[in-house]
Amino acid sequence: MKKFITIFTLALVVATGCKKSDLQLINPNSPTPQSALPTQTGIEEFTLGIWSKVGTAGNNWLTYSMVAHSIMGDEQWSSVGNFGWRYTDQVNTITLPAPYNTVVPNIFGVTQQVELQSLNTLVSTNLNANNIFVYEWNLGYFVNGESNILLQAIGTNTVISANEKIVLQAVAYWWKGFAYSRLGSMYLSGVINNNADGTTSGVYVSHDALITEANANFNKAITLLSSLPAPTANDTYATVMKAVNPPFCLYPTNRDMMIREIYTYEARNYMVNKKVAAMTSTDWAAVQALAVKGMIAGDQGYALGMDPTGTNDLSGTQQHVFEWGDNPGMPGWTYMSERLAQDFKPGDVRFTKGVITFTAAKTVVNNTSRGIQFGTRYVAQLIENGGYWATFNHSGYSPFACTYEENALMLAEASIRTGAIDPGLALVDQVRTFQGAGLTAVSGTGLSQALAIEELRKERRIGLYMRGLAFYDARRWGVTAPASAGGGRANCNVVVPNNLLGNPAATGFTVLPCFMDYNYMDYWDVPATEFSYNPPASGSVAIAN
Amino acid sequence: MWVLIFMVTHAYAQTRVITGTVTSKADGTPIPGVSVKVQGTAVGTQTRIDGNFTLNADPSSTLVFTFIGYEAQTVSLGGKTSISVQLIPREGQLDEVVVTGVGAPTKRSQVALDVASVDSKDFAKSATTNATQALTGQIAGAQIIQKSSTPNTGPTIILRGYTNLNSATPLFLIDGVQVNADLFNSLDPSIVDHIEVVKGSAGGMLYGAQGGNGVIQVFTKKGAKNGKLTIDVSSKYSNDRVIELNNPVATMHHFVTDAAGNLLTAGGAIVAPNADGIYPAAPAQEPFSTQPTVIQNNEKYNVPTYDHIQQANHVANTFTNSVNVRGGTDKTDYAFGVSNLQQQDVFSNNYNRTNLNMNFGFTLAKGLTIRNNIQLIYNYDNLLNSNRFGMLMAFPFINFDYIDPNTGRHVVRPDSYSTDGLNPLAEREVHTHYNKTPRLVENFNVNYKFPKFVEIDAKFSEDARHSETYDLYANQTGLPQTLFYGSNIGGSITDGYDNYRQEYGNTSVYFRTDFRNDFHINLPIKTTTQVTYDYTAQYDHNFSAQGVVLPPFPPYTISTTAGAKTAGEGFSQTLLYGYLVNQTIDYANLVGISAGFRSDYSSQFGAASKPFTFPRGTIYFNPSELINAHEIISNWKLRAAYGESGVQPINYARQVTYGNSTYGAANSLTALVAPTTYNNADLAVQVTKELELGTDITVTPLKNSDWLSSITFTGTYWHRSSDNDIQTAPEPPSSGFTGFQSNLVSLTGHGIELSLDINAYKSENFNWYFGTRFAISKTYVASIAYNIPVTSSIFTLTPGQELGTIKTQTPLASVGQINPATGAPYIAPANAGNYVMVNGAVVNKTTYAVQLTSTSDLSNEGNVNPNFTSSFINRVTIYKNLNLSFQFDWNHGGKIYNGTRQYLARDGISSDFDKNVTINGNTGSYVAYWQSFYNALNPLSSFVEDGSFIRLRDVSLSYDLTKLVHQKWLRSLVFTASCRNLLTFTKYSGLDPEVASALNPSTGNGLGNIGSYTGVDFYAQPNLKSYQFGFNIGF
Repeated sequence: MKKFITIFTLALVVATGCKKSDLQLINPNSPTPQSALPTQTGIEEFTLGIWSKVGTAGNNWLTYSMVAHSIMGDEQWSSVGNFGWRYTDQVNTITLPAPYNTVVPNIFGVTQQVELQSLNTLVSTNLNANNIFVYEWNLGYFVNGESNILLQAIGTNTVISANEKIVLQAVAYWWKGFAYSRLGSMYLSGVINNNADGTTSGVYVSHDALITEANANFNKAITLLSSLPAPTANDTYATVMKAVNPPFCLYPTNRDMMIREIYTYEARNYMVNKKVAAMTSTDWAAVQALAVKGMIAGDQGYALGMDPTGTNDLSGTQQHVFEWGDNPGMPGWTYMSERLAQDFKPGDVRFTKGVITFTAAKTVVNNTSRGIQFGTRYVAQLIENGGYWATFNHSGYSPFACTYEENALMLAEASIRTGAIDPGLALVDQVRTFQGAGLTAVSGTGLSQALAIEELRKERRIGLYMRGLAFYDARRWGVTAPASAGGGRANCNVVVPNNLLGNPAATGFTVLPCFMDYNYMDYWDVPATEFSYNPPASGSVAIAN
Repeated sequence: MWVLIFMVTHAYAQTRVITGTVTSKADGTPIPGVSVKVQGTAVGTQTRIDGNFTLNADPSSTLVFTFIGYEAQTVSLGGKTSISVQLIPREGQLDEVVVTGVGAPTKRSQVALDVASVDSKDFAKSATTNATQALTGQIAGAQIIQKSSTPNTGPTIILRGYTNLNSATPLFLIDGVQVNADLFNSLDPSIVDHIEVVKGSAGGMLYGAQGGNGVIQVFTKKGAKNGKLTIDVSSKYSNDRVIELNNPVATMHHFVTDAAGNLLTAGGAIVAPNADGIYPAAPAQEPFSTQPTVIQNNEKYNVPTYDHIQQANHVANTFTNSVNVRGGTDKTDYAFGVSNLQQQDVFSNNYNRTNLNMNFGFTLAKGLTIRNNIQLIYNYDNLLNSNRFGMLMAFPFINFDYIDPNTGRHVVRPDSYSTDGLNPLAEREVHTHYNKTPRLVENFNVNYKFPKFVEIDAKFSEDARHSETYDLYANQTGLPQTLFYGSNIGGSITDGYDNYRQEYGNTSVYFRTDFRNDFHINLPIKTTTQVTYDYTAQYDHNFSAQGVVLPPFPPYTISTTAGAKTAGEGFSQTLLYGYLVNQTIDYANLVGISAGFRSDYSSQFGAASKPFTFPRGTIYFNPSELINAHEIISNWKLRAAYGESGVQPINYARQVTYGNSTYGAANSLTALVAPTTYNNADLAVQVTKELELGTDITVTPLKNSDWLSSITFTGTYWHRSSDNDIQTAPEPPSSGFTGFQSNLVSLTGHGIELSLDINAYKSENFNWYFGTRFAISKTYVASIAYNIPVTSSIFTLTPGQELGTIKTQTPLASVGQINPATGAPYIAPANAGNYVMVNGAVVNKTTYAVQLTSTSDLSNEGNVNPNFTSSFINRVTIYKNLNLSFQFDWNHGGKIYNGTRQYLARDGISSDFDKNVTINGNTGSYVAYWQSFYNALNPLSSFVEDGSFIRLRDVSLSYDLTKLVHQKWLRSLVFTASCRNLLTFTKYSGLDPEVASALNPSTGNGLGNIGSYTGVDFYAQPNLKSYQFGFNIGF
């Protein structure tokens, strides 16, 4: 009897030992906002976390957006449906030169706008991830949302120093300015949201208003950075920035450099959101006024890199603009465009070092029969083999904000277009020299304004290749406007399958100078994922073209 | 009362204490609940859970043993005071004592729930590797889908449709002890005695916040007290291959060729591999988009082509061996055994499992028994699970089996131009992986029955496993291609472990009264009051470390790697405890009611400390007790049950936390990231309320004939509503988030389940049993908070709509079809002449492209859930030693979205492309027409197919040689040959209609939180067809 009383007692003790307080199990793997944000390290780590809103290894919003700009600017092309790239790359028609004069429509038979709008549904977004409107929107608002939480947390944090607060706030405003810049430069309209509690606004404002908001945030960052006490400004800045940026990415290394990058961005915001035909001398003066405060040679801007091992970074060995390009490890995603290759001037070292020409057998023609814009003889040389724009071993940095070259070329454009041709060309030469192009100087050669603009156009194409500016340029220069409205590009190279040249059985290809009517949207519609759950409130502007 | 007193006095005057044990003749296990009566008197008792009984009787009297499901037996005591009786099971009567869902062991005739039970002797012989496999088709209303041929992967089990949108996994118990579902995959099927299944909340409520998806309980074999020593040896061989009902790839092509028929690249070169077997460029497709009315898929390959399904999947062999020993003495019983499973899968992986089981029971004192059951399980596998879809998508002239003579290896990517993945057949040459898991499951039970009224039962179990994972990618530099497996071309080593522990404790007190015996009230009323307290705690800790870039010479350890070294770990802990109070009152066998509730506390509940309480109530009525036709209707029961139960939020879902990201392998910084979907501190349990009505009836219409010796029918109707179902509520991205965990959705459902068991014919030399199972289950979306529709893949949650409804675009059915968004026709009337009708769809005469509704104009194209599931089971015994059994499963009406077929249209290699079509008077296999269905992979009704199928699940032939050998030491010798999934009858055009997975065709991601666990075929790994041979020897 004793024996089993003992056994029972034991069993009962074991079985009834639970208390209510035992239920308060806290997730031991992940910090909570309450535990992390009041600390110095926590708030620095949260600031660093904004990068994961720029893009993660599995879902790199920034990279998807950069590639989308690149293919719409016809620097690269992509015939894959992933992320909506091939639909975004739907040139309206391609007209073969005489004697053929054939007009080849895109295979969908509708404009890019109709095609992209048809994919702007929840189904296309959620099922096949081919709604292009989603990515840059998410990039902007995820970065903005995280920055809002950061600003609130800085406000209530009592342990960080006043100077660190200034830098962190400036970083938050920088990111907000960046976010609204991307949104306002790409979407017809959007909302302005400074809430840190997961709520948003239903009032959609115009893209111009978004740019105004972007610049307002940028100016806050400049004001804050300028207020850092001079003797220690750069030390404070450097210490904080080292903690809040990934080791494999680049960022302005001192306070003044950061301020210059922001001015360049403000100049860009001004210039790329107005058609060049509509720019007055006042506008060019405004661009110039900002750009003169902008980046100088030797300045480091924000750039997306990769960890050399391909781990613990934002690319995950794939999601980087340099890694999407056709390479032995990632064949077939994006290719260098014929239309980019033809913009290199003969003898440009950047071509000889940076571009490989395919053999005829490997030349890509009408890739998977999705359209003749999807063909090329060129591919970017790997950085590890001496190139600039592609990698297979996680090398290189892709500037996604501004650079010295962009700033110089904005100054050059303002100069040339307002009649100061030679000073403008001198800036073009400076950029070419800076990049080691090995080209003869064009300043002092007495070029006409039209030829000077052509030099500038080529340099913006080549010198700023894969920096996210090609579409902005194509839009403001009128290239992507419908041919009926004076848009399009003449004499641009297309790899034409020979069977299109009159003999259906013909094999092989011929590169012909064609006319491309792009007819692309200027500003994108608000994505379905937004308006489905945040319908426009009264007072909103239009959210779709 | 006078009679009662007289009887008691009378009995007392002449009686002595008689003790005994009742076991089953079939397998020697004790039978609880057997009615033991002294013939000609009202004196009687029932056997207890261990099969023992005690009563006062005259040693010269005769005892009558009756128990439903067994032949009655009359035994004369002949002066003895202790006897052992073996009852012979009555054929075809699925009537026994059940435990699951009712708490205390209860006679089936007094169970007010639909508790399905499958005995191990009725398991399909071809169910080899795990116990749940054996349930397929055996239980009405249980959909058991083996979705993966990967070893150690359990089936998807859906009981009565869906109660929530996250998980359909039921609660698993082994011998009354709650266990993690994965233990079921590791359990040795040869120790399973029988399995009980409670499909809904009405029974699940005993398990409160964990019972919402139903309960499956396995009972293991025990030895019998005073049982003879028996030894069973069994061995089985299985030969497995994937089912490939249809080859989805076209046999013809539309590539550019030269005059000799050679495929040409876009540049005009002949398509051919280089010296390393690598194709540098793809063949150029003929320009179907620019010449749509010309280009047809009608050219023959002039090079060999390969069936990539066959190249991707090999024939696999599986061996199982087991030895089990059982027996007992007067105070003990024992069962122990050892088994081994050596399973190969079609990817040439190996899985090896060894089980050691020891189950001992002791009677320490009168009424006091203890039982200890230990299982030691050792799993080893080297599973590499590369998806094979990339192979299917490759051009058919690619030979993935090709060995590069320069390297002696498979080619890493033969089609070097393709965006699809690497050749999975080459992976094993550079990738070594193994996983070793020793596991200990200890289950201790103490039971004490007071002489009267009270029984106390306490259980404690611990399930502990330690998984060790090792993963090595060789240094792959210097190979012909700069492509590599793993994260670094220099190779990597990853070591890790996962320690998991689950504790379970249960203390139950039963208070039983018998009005006649205990209170001398002459009413046949018995009551049982059950109070149970139990708790489950889980602990998990995993750790892994990695080093990259292998050194040039061994040893290869993380320490010797040249690159960065990283490590990580994770923890998880849960605790749930609760108590149950249940009261049962039975009036003889005639009528009984029960009512009770369970209250649970859990670390997974939002606002953690508030309990959730789940009430229940049941009633049964046996009209057969009142009618005088026992000869014909031996049992007829009406029953009703109501219960509530739940499914908890996932662990830590109630806590808002930030993710940790490490940046930089070498110079690491940690980032805190607010997740895009944020958690909700107030998440509530998903609660299901269910009403179940049913009847069980056994008739014996032709008592004295060989035909139809018994017919048992079980029918159940159920209706339920589930509230607070958790679904991510979409948020606009401008909020900074995409979603919010929320108790967003309510579901309703109803269904019918029917089972019929017929002993169709019984004679000296021929027995025929026939059983059928039939179930209908429908689940509807009742409401969604905020009325926000939720979309994922082909599925949308819409209030009022059935769960699993497919919504897609459709080809225009007429040239004048109106676009509802604009109110205007899709095709401007002026252009109507440019279109013709082809197979009921509008096709452009110029482009040959089928015209579709817009992506916002979707229509319902049926439901992925079958209209009904059913099975037909036959078992025939000829001359007592030849057994033939076969089982057909018939699922009718479920649709499948054939995403594989759509994807293959992308590259123009779908078998559709071989088909001729007549457009505008021209007939041919027009590529532009077929390609237009690809539609950017957007869901299109043309890919919705009827997924109905009839499958010969099992056919087995056994021959019992025992009598032929005729040795005294030989108890049985049986040889068995069987086939699993031998034949399938279906209109489905894919590989296998059964394994359509809920995957997103584009990204391969599972459809989280949308509540459809099946129905999209995006190259789901097909099921296996197996041929098996085995023998059992019993001593």
